[in-house]
Amino acid sequence: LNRSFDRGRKLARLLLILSMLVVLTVTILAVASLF
Amino acid sequence: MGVVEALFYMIALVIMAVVSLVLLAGAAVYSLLTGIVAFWRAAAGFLAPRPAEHLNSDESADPADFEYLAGPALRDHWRLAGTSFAAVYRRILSLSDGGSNNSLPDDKSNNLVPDGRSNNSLPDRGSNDSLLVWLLWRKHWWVTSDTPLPRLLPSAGIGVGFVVGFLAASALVAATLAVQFVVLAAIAAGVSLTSRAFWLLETGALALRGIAIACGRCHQRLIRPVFVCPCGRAHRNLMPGKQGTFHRTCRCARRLPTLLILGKHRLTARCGHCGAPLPRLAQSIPTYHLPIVGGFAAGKSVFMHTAIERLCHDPRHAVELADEHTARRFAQGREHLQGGGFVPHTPLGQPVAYTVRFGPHLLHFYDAAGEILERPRHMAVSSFVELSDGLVLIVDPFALPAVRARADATTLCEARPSVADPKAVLDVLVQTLREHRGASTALAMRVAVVITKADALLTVPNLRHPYVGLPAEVSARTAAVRDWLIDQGHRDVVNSLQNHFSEVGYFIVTYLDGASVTSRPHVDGGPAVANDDPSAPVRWLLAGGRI
Repeated sequence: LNRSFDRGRKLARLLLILSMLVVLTVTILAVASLF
Repeated sequence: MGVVEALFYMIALVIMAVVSLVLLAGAAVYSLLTGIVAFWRAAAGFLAPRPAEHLNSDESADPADFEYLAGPALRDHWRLAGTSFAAVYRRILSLSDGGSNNSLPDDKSNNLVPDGRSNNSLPDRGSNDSLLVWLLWRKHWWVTSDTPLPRLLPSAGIGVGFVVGFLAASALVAATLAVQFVVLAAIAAGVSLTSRAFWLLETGALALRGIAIACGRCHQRLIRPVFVCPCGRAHRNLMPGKQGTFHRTCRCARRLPTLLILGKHRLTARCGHCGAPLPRLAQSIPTYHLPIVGGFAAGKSVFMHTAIERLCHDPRHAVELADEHTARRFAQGREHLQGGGFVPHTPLGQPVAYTVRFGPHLLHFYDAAGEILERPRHMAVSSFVELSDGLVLIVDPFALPAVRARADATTLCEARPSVADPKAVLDVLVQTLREHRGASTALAMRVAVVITKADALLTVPNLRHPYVGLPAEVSARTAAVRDWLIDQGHRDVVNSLQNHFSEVGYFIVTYLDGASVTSRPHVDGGPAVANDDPSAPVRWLLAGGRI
């Protein structure tokens, strides 16, 4: 295994989770603000 | 149709429409969640650890892994986007996915049992089907030409819900990937900028400190050495870059520093042209190239050994023989000299440098065979001359006719005089330098003219030693030797040196002063005379100009 790729992909996965959380939070807040 | 039937039909239609709307919302939410799960599974699978050798497709790169965040991360992100959208589409809307049987049944009586399940393939397709396929397979008998509208509405609602869910999931995936892209791009840009900054820092520091690298064997100037990993793999461009900013990982999984400050100088360095090992300090301290030239048997090798010996006695500077090759040859030469013999003649060919660390300098001494200077065609290809930061021109006093005429046979026999005319040697040297450097004015370098065999010179009767009665002051001694050469009938040599070089220094040395400089009496009597320290020409060269 390429350790740099291994570490990098772990970071990318973490970023993906954080990005999804950010998007979901913003979406929920946006929807909630409609009501 | 009667009024009552129409009324019932309308009521059923309204009820089914309401039910369809509820089903639409449920299907949209369900397909959205299913799409998110499909996206996450696809992304997790894509970003899982896997062999990456195939990603190193650049054949010209060093045998090391690429830094993921310095570029491949963005390429991966683009591929991840394609994989993610495809996974979401496949899970919700695709009609052509699902494994062995992708076609919809065209005859329900042929493939389906009354409860809507296939009698052969449907149970196996469940987990791979898209939601739409599931709907059409499971409910497709509702969607026929004779299906009443109220019964059609729930299926239509669910189908539209799937489409809405797909669009929502796609928007969510797109937004997630966009946020991730922004962060990844910022990180990649930061890594790239950091690499470039440290590349400039490393290169600039070397340039500011005047450190340039040239091979002592093939005499080629090098942009940078080839560094060899302990596993044997050669890294031609071990600098901050796409394979790592501060370290890189060799194919053998060993981490190699890319910066000198992090210990790169401790790696084995080789010439990229001929593969010769380079001194450990090649990139740590400024390097100076000092060719020692003169006619055959003029005493070049003896002078070089004696000068290095004297340099080694200097208590003020750290002195070391910088590579194994130098140490071995120097030990052999010292053995010959201490045994009262002469060092063997230098073999004809391009000289391999003797490399010595002298304080903050790395000195490359080139002991060129005298035959090279006596044969212009050999000298023309002597690229070591091009590297020179200063020159040592060796003059055998017994090659001068006026001195030779006064010396007796015994002295001449012991001195083993050179027969090369110093002026002829100088002319070839100047011509070669002009060819290599193309200068039309004076060559901007110091030349130390060293008269050797001074011990034998003291045994020649009626020959005044230039230093008799002189103080040990450099300028006075230089002038005295110059005048002495003129007195011996070699004004042409002195004038040529003055015309072609920016600075010329004159010295007289003997190999007997290797351990310490001592005064010796002249055969004609008078005060004892001390010759120059054999390392004095080297120190004088180091003290001036570029050096």
